[in-house]
Amino acid sequence: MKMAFLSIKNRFLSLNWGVIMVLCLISGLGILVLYSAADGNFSPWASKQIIRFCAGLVLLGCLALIDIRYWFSQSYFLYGLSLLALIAVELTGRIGMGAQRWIDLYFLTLQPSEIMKVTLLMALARYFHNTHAQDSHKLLYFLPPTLMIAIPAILVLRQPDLGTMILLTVAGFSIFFVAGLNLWLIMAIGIISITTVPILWSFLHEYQKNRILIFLDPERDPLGAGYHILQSKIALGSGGFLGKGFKMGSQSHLNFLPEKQTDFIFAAFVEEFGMVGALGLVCLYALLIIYGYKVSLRSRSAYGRFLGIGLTTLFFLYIFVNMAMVTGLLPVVGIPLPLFSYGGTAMITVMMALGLLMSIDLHRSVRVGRTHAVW
Amino acid sequence: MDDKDDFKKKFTRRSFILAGGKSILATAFLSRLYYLSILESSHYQTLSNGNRIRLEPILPSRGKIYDRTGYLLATLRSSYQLILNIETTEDPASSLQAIDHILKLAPEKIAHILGEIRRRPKLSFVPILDGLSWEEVCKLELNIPEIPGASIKEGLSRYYPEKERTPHFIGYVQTPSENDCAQNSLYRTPNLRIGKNGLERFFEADLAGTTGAREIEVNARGKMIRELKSYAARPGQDLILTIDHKIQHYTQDLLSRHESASAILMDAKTGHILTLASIPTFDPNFFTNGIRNTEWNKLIHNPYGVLNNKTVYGLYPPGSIFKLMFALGILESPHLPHHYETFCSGYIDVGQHRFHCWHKDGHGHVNLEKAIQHSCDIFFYGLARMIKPDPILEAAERFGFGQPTGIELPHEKSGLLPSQLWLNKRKKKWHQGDTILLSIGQGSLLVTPLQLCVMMGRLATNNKTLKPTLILPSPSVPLLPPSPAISSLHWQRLTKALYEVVNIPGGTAFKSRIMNKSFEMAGKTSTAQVRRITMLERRTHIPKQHEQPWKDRHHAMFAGYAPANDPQYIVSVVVEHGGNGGQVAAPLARDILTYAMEKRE
Repeated sequence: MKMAFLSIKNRFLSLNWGVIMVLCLISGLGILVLYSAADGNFSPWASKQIIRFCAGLVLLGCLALIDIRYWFSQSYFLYGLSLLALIAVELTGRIGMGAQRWIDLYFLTLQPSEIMKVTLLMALARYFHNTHAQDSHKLLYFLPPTLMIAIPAILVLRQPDLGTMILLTVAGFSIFFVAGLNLWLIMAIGIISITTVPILWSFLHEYQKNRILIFLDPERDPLGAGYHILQSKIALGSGGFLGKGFKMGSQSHLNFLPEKQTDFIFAAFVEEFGMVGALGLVCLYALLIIYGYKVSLRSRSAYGRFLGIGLTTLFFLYIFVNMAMVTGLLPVVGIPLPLFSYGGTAMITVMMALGLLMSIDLHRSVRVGRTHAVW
Repeated sequence: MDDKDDFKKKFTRRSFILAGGKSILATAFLSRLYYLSILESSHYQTLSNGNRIRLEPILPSRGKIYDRTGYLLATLRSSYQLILNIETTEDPASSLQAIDHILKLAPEKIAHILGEIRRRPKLSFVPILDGLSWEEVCKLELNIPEIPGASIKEGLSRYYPEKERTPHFIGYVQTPSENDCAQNSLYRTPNLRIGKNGLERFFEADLAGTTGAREIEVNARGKMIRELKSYAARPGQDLILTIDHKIQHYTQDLLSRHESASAILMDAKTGHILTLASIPTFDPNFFTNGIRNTEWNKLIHNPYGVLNNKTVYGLYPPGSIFKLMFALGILESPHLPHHYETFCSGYIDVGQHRFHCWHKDGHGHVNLEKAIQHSCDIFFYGLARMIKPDPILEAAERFGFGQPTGIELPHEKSGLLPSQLWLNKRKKKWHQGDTILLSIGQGSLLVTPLQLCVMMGRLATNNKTLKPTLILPSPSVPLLPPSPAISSLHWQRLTKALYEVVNIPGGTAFKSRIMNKSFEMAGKTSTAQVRRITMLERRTHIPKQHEQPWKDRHHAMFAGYAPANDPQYIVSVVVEHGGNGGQVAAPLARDILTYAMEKRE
């Protein structure tokens, strides 16, 4: 309980500054690529990204300093709030045309699906916090958390945002897994999920079906949707071992690479910095993931452990899905590379996730009661 | 708290399993990265360069063609072309429509251009109209600012100053066809022309030169960013011909009063072709910028064969000129009667067939020289009855029949010398009648006018190495040493007969003799029968040539040389369905020789 009595100043000083250094390094590299992609200009991307990163760091700091018990107590509330926002988007999205995934708050566009990624994990961690050994054998016990995942997942899929849906589901089930879900039940859930694939397929829009079909057979449409994957692979492959050099990437500079500043920024990075650069970046990300595991394993509370693993898995999925998509291992699902891609909404999610992770780290010795509330 | 510890252990275990799963995924990704960046890197580098680099060809200037006096027969002149710049045109279809309002474009042409733009997105421009006239240029200049992408480009295009007087041997150039492009992808270069006929085709590789290129960096929209590299084009080589444009000009005009004719004038010592004329003719300049359909139809529907170079593609029965080969075949075989004589009464019966002489009253008593001078058929029939065809065919082969002469023109015809092999292939047998037809140059025998000329050349100079050529060799190249084709005794007998044909009264070309004693002509006439004279006609009335339809008239031919005592020029003239060789072809040959002689002096 002693952490709870630390002053704000001391808590601030005991933040893991090494991790923050790694964050800055990754974002720094991202900003370098944005600077290069704009032909050596800070506008339009690099300068904005610097401001966003700084704002994100402040957000991260704030979340990290807040007591873990507060987050525990507010988990369901925040989850409910994001679910409402998601439904609101669904309703307004019906009025607008096509994919509408955000609420316009005039000063900031808020994407409820992004917030949902974090709050879902919080709610699940809280639910499993109270688990008893015998619970893990009861099928009924897993029904509420399954619904907690399923409802937002279906809403997100209808937006339609295939990538977020995958992230929500997989990160959510990772908590099921570490919470001790019986292996037979895991298999049962696995079989059920496979049988729901055709149902999910019918939920998909034509363009999403196309993306998956083109992923399976890129030759279907070399100038259309397959163009993205092909040009991305060309950018990656032509970079070779050492890359073409800073500001020398022809694929990104001559606009052959689509979405070079957002989803395909990794390809633009590897084109200029080669396999060496890619390995360096992967190592930096690996450091963050190892940190996430360390935090989870050291946490005294079950809530912290589950949330830590969930957040780490979410972070891993972000990176993996994006990189696999850019290298042509997975279909193009529209997941940005965290801390690297240009854009504000993903930055908020990632900073929230890492902020919570640091909060768990900071409050690792805190005991969290069954329905504990600090304030 | 056992329960709790158990839980924590389970959590730790499963966390590690989860981490293991992530490591597997990470490994999969890293292998993928290794595959793309290392193993397949060169492949993707190629693709990346293919994306950013556009090769823009630089056309070389085509080699010029001169005659032996340095006169230009094929040159380049500036021409104006309407092009559509694709980089700056958002909507090529509407631009084409706007052009269509000013200068009518064929609907197929518009469709073709749009197809080209779609098929080849990296093209920077497409040509729309070539060879614009000055009025068209003026008309367009007014309106072009309002048509996005359209502009007028000045370039060089092939021009033949002699127009209708040289097309048959020079040939012409044209835009490569789909077939050509399938064979050579370089042919897809916009504005490229390739030789389609004659020397332009034969010497395509030399005349064309080597295409250069600019390597241009482009962005994803095909817009030029900068020039990376440039390889200069190497211009094509010039050709210097043996042709004398003045004689060519004269001959072509001389022949043009006939429907269909050809004439060749060759240097007797060197085989240099001074004139290669063919009638009717056409203007090859029409082809350079795409021949219009109406023009094309006019050309291909002309019944006299406009595009055909008759000197090398025209095939004719040689008629009486072949009697020289027959005589030679006899003379060169030691056991055959060299001094055969006979009496011509106008016909001869061989088996159950009666063969007629062209002169129905007969020539009376004839020997070899007289038979050639008068072109008596009966004399040769008589000999033909006694011999096998082999020595005749052997002589004819030595004098160039049945094989290409080797002139520098594409697809020269070989003619037909009916050898034993040829007959076997057709499952036919050689009959006595065939030898009789062979003796007067009829039957299945076919020759080209150039072969006649070469034969006459070899005979006149008794030089079997004489070969025709259109390309003037550099003076340092030595001529092939002359090598006698026949024994000098026989040669004297034959050339004496050839002299008598023209210069002694009764000779078939006596009326066409050259009076200038130092430039007397010698030669042999031929009136090759196209249609058989029926028995009924023989009994009642043999129709006069001018009474018959053109297609049924005889071919009038003459092959000869001058001066008779020291041959300088060899000439051969064929007037298709022109009638009598002595009356029609021989005067033309005389005029050509006379003109050449006057020009030399």
